[in-house]
Amino acid sequence: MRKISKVTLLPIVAVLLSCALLLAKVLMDVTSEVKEDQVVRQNFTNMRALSHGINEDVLRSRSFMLQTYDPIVLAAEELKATCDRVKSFNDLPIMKHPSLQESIFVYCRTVEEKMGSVERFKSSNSLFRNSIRYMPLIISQFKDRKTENQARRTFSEILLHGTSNEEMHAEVIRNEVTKLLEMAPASQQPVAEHFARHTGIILSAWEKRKKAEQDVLFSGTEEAHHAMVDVYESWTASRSRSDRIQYSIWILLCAGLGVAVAIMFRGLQTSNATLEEKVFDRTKELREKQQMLVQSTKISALGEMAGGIAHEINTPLGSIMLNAEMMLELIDKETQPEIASVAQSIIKTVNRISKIILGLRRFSRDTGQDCKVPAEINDLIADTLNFCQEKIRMNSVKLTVSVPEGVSVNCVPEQISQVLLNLITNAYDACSDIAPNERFIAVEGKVCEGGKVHLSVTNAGPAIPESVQAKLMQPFFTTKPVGKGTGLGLSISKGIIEEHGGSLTYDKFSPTPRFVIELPALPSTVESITPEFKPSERKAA
Amino acid sequence: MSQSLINWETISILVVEDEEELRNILCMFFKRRKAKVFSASNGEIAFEIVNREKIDVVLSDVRMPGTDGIWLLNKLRERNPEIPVIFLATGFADLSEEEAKARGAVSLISKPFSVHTLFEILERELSRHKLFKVA
Repeated sequence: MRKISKVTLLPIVAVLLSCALLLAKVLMDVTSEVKEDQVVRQNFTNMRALSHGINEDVLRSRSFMLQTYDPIVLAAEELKATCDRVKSFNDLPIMKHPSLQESIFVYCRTVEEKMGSVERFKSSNSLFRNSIRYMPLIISQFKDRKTENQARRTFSEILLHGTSNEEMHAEVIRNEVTKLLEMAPASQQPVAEHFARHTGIILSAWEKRKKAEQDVLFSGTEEAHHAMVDVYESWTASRSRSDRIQYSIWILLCAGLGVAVAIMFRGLQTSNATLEEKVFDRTKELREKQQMLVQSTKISALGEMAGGIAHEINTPLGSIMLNAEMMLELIDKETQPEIASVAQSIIKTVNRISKIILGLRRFSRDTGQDCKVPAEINDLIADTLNFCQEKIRMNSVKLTVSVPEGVSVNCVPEQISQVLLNLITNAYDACSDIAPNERFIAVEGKVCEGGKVHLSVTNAGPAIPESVQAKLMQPFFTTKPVGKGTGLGLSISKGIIEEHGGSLTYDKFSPTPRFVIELPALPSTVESITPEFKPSERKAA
Repeated sequence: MSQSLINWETISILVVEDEEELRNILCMFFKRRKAKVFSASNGEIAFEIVNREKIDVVLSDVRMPGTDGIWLLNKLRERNPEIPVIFLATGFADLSEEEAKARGAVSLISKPFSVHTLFEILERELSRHKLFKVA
């Protein structure tokens, strides 16, 4: 697996981290909500228990009428405190529901009412209880047995009445008290009246206590509690349902993101691999081009240097030539033929060197701005060969030139010579792997119909494969080893010939490599050259 | 020596060439034809000679250290426009014949040249001046 850069990984890590944080938050929310729910439920349960406890105490007071019920107030206060606590939960998300808030408010109001009733119950019960306790003392003040018995009977009724809710018993007690007042002798009348007055207080306290008891028992707290709990249950149920949906969406979203990240990661890996391959190929290509550029720069520098050398050589060469000619002037050629021959040989050699230098000059000059002039093909070939025929001869390559006399084209001679030199040099290189006796380079020219000059350069080398033929004219394409060829020769040559209104092609039908230059012939050439050529053949010296 | 159309004995020629061997051999050819020969190795020396002596034709190299052939040509065109100047060039980075003529030289000979070419051009150019017709 290829390595992915830190920059590429950064967004992936960020997405995964966001997912993890999101899940952690969801988990924390769930946990805290569960705790809050437990607290709320506990408070609701406490409320119910406290309310029940108060009711039980109130009901118990009928059977145990003499017991003190003061602590009932503490229970009521605790219930009120619990209500306040539950009210304070309204900031919790779990409590944020208008109906729930309303039901809590209603419940708390019933609790407050219940507290008032409890207070009234406590005070009336206290009065009732204390009054009951005082009755035996009043009874003991009766001196008359009959009246005392009537008082005791009335008190029993009161005690019985205290454990009953029925109105009928109050009437019975009042009747008994009337009887007592009627039967009490005059001496006992104050005590009887005291008894009757006190009985009235007891009955009144009992009435008040009974009323408060009813208020406590039927304060609506239970119903309000039920309503509150129902609202809470349905609210939490709907909440947990929506939470489940929400969590499912989040989990699905995270899973989707995970899948997307995985796909992206995979895509990145693939594109990374492709990119690296491209970079590798491009680097290779650039390296090759750089080598070729270095090579062509070297050649260009060589051309410039050759030009400089030629310039320096021409002056001493002139000196040599004139000295040799002076020798010829000074001697008697008839008596000193050897010296004359040597002088002639010197002149001939200087002329040869001069031609080579002329060739160098042609190839080192910038001919971009040169104007086209009429030039004879044979002269162009001769100029080119001056520059390379020595090398060809030394390597036993048979060179033949077959071009009719008088074939001319309108051209920049230096440029056409450059193309010819390139083709001949390529031909020479192609012959290097062939047996010396089979090596040949043939330069042939003819005027074709349509006023075109066909000039071909053929060599003895192996035919060029079709796959290579297609790329022959592409810049920087070469089959020569690095350092030998730039891959620019043919593409430049093609450009030059096309600028002259002609074409440079590879002859696919030739058994051996053959390049053909086609150029427009000068009108004078077309007129003077008949279909019957007058070929002139030259052989490398 | 071939038959010449010019009476070299009446001609004074100035050879300007920094290359000693070439300068000497050129002078030798003219001396053998009994011409009056002066020589200089750069433009400045040549110009002094022109001011001092009566010179009929100047044969000058183009490229020389210090004051070159172009400098000499310009000076002569200012002061002695009647003296024909023939340039000797290496043909490479020097002037072309057209450029030389445009600047005021009468001809340009590319090195290396044969003595035949040299005298042919000299005679052709000198013949244009009536003074040097065959005596």
